[in-house]
Amino acid sequence: MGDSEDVGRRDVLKAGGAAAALGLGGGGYLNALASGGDGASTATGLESFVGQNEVTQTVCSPNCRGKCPIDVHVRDGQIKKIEPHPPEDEQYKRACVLGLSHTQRVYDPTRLKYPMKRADWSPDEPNPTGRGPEAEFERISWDEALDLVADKMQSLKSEYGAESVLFHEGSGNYGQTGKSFKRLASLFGATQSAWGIDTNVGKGFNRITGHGAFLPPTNESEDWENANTIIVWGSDIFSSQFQMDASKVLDAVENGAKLVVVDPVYTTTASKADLWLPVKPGKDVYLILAMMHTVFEEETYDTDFLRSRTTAPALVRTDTGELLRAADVSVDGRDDQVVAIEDGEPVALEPETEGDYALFGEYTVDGVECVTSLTKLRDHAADHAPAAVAEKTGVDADNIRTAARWLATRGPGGIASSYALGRYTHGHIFGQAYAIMLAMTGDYGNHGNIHAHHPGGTTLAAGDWAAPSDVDPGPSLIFPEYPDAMIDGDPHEIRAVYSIESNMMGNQFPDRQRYQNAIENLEMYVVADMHHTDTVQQADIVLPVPHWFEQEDIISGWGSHPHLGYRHRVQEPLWETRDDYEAIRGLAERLGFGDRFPETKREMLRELASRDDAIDFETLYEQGTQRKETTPVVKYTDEFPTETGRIELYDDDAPSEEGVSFELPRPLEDRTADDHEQADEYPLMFMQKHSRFRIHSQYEMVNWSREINPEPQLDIHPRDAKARGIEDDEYVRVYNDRGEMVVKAKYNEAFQPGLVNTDQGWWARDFVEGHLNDLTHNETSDVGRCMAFYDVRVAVEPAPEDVDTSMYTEGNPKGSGAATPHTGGD
Amino acid sequence: MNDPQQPTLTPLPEWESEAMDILDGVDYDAELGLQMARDAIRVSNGELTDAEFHEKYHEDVLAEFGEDNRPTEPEGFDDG
Amino acid sequence: MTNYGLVIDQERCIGCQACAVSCKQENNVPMGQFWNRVLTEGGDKLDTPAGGYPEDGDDGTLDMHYQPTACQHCENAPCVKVCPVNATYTRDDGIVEIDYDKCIGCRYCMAACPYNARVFNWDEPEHVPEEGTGDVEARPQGVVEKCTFCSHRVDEGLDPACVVNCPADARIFGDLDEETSTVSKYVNNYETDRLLEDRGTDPKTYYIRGEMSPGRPQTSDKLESELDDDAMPGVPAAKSGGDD
Repeated sequence: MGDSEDVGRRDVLKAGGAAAALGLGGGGYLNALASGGDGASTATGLESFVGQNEVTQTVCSPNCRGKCPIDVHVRDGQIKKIEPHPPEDEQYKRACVLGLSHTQRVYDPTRLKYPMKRADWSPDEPNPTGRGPEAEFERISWDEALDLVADKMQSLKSEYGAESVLFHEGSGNYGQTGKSFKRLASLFGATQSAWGIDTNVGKGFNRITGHGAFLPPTNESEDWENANTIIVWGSDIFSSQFQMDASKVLDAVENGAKLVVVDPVYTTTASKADLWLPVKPGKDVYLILAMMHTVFEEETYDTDFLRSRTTAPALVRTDTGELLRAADVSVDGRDDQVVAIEDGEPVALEPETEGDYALFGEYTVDGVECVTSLTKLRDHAADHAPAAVAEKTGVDADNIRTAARWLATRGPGGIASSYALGRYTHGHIFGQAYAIMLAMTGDYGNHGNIHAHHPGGTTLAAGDWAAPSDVDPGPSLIFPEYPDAMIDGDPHEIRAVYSIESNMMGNQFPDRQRYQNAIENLEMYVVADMHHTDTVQQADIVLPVPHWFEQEDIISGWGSHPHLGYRHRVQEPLWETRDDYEAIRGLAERLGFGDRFPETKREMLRELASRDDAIDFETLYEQGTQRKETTPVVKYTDEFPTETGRIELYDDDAPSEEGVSFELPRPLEDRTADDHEQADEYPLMFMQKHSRFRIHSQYEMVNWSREINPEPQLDIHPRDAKARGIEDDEYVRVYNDRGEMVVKAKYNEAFQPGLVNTDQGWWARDFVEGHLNDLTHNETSDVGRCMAFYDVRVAVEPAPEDVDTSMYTEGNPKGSGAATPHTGGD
Repeated sequence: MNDPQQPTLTPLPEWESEAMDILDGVDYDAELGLQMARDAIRVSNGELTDAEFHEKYHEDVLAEFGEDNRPTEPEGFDDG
Repeated sequence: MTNYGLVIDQERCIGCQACAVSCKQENNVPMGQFWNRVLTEGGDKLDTPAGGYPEDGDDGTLDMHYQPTACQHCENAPCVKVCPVNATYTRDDGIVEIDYDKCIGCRYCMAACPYNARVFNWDEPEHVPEEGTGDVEARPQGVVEKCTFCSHRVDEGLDPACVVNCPADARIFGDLDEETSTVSKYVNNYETDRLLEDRGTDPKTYYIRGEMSPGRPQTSDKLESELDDDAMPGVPAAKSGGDD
């Protein structure tokens, strides 16, 4: 404490030049700050430490849309605070509540400290039933751990084949380690994980445009202020996905853009909207068809775009329903070319070619009767007039027309489509539908166009490093296929799993009980993580990973912003934690592939960076970030990578599901259907919204966030609650035929009657009973093959009287309420 | 302890009861604190001058705290 | 004279809590206490709206805004007037702060503050991590504490932590006596409210409601007054002509 005699009202003078150096001085990422001696005493009688911290620029790295460059302040050997650090292109300065909170996360008691082995596991007697909440662990050495894993992999390889070992990679660390993981998997011949989450909408979009894996590319966020209409469809972008770029959307609105939000929930984003369309869950395809109907009716479609960049004029045979091919008829062209009518004559359609093609009408070419693709679409949309779908969708017909009118007539804009739509079983249909809608309005390739609820960003292009071209990699399994493979050996047996960067058993996978049954067939479950997650608790071998600030890496800006970032080490790895790369390399050595892996992580990063011509390792290292100039701000400016080089409005090679064929976007619902067989027994739809307080299940333990958001809740409309005798803040049992959970009810008028929600990301320890993933299911559609977390029905009732809620109701004022898990080892 | 979820600011009548809660169990005269709090708002509102406020509570504050270093002291205030 | 004030654009605020948490981090605020709370103007609970969900295709009446609330740094601060030991005082630059060496914990200031902006350290303050966080020393048990506009940063030419960490550019700090400052321009050109104006406290925290402002895009943690013009990329000129 300073002297307090005469400081009461003294003039406050600037205390020298320390501030000038703060964070931004010099070219180096490390700014050791000179200070004027021991902390200056302020007039408050308190010591100020401004200017005394050693500051390291690094990058926050979860699977969010941030990849925020940050300054980490260290003093007295301890991380004291986090501040945003603008990247090379300063307009991408970003921050959020989570990135700040590493100050607490780094030292959280859930951090793993030492390699561990489940006490009752051995390679020959794996005792799989010993896994679970009661499992106990014993500390082992790194050598012991890697020897055990490598030996078991070898013995499984000789007995069942290399593909019986599954390398599962999650999304919990946006560095390059995953490439080394895949590299080892490829060399060994292991089965590799393929994504089965959030790929649904992109599949549908891709079928029409040739673009999109997860969500399709969209203009970088710096361009969003040029949009005149932004339709955010099924996403609370101001709470997740876009909060760190919120200023970009707000700037668009401030510039006069119309913000439309389509969501069954009155979200934070909806509260900022000019127009909110409270669609019923699962009815989105009806709604967008009605918007198309309006565009047709008002003839506000973009004629030039449809003619030059889509197959709108392409003729469809009335006899077969297939596209007429140039080679089918006497038109000069190839078999893969479709045919349009220009000046009354059939011509083969070239990509990116303007012509006075007929957009509508019936034509006979060489005796074959045809109609144009756009005619087919118009006829299809004709069945879905706004007035006709208003009741079904819950959206007022005039509001549907208004949204369509704004998009079609106010200049560039777009649809910020979401992952949430793909969390319904048949979500790929929406992907197809909105790709077509945006083609009708000509919203591709221009400033101000939007195609997804997060920007494109960029990645490090490392060529074949992850899958060396000289080796024959093993097969891959998409996530939802795991249980069948583990239980029934379908399509092949899985006897061991090595998992990195994933809390698969705690948050990322649905139908928790089924996955727990499935892993009982594993002889070895190796889990590498930073924290003692629910997945770690299921492991046989636990590999402790350092916090991001303790492992250098190159961070991809995928889905975020067009920079790569260098994640400099802020401190040495705590305890005996080791970078995944070191573990992977250690295994590679034991498996005979050591020479394929550079000796140090730094060397690996250097090698990967050297493969990408658009970046330079030294620049990236020194600056901390480098904007990848080859990443275009505006997307879709070139020929579409489809057979015709155009957006394919009518897909004559369409897949089908449940007897519905998707040449055009035809609505199909699973559990949201009004007449679904479980509608009476489980009348409420159940979603698990992303919250601003967690990224998947990361940050669950942050004390600051938990003071604001202490426990899982069930958002429920007061009417639904009262009908069940549920009072506000009362604990409720949420259940269906798969399982149950007990959480606190939160009356929330924002939620549509018939829809309830528990924010995702909570760990098992946070629930009074059960877990939200005891309610979700693992069924996917044939086309989407994507986990449908929100296509779930539940019933809700007051929790049984004898349920023990003391973890939240008795003296727990400090947040992070639930018990600390056994971190073991120490 | 304050509540991060408290939704709104408190209207005046309830604020007084909150003020009483705040002062409950304080080592000093709670009633004096409440009266001064009420009158401090009147000063802000212009219903009472700083000088009047100072004078009104000077003796009580002196008695309770053994000093009165409030900034409301008017020039030439007679401390006697 | 310098007269610091804060403008919060509620049309831009997305309720993300980054300001609330960065405040705790920077100022080493104990667990269980908040100097800066992001209140929901709407329903009874955090992140819930007022009004009713749309029925039968109508538009409903739901409404929700966020109101970050901390010490309002009042010109006529009742907390200052009641402090018998002059521990709470107003600096020459308008910041209201507390000399914790003088505070005797009588809590009169808490009773006098109509904004519920002050907290009292009933117990030995707890911090996570234990050693504390941020750039200012922790306060002991038995004193009242509150937002200082990060005076320890302002004294070094830096913006308050809550301003630097706002991803929505919704918080603007600066000199209300300087005509060309962004805060002055926004107070003059946008419709602003101050909380509980009927109490006559004359707060220096202004809330924009109605028309959204461009906020203040920042690429530096320096006070606006510390930046030369070249270093203020994207700071927009205020709109001309008022808010009608």
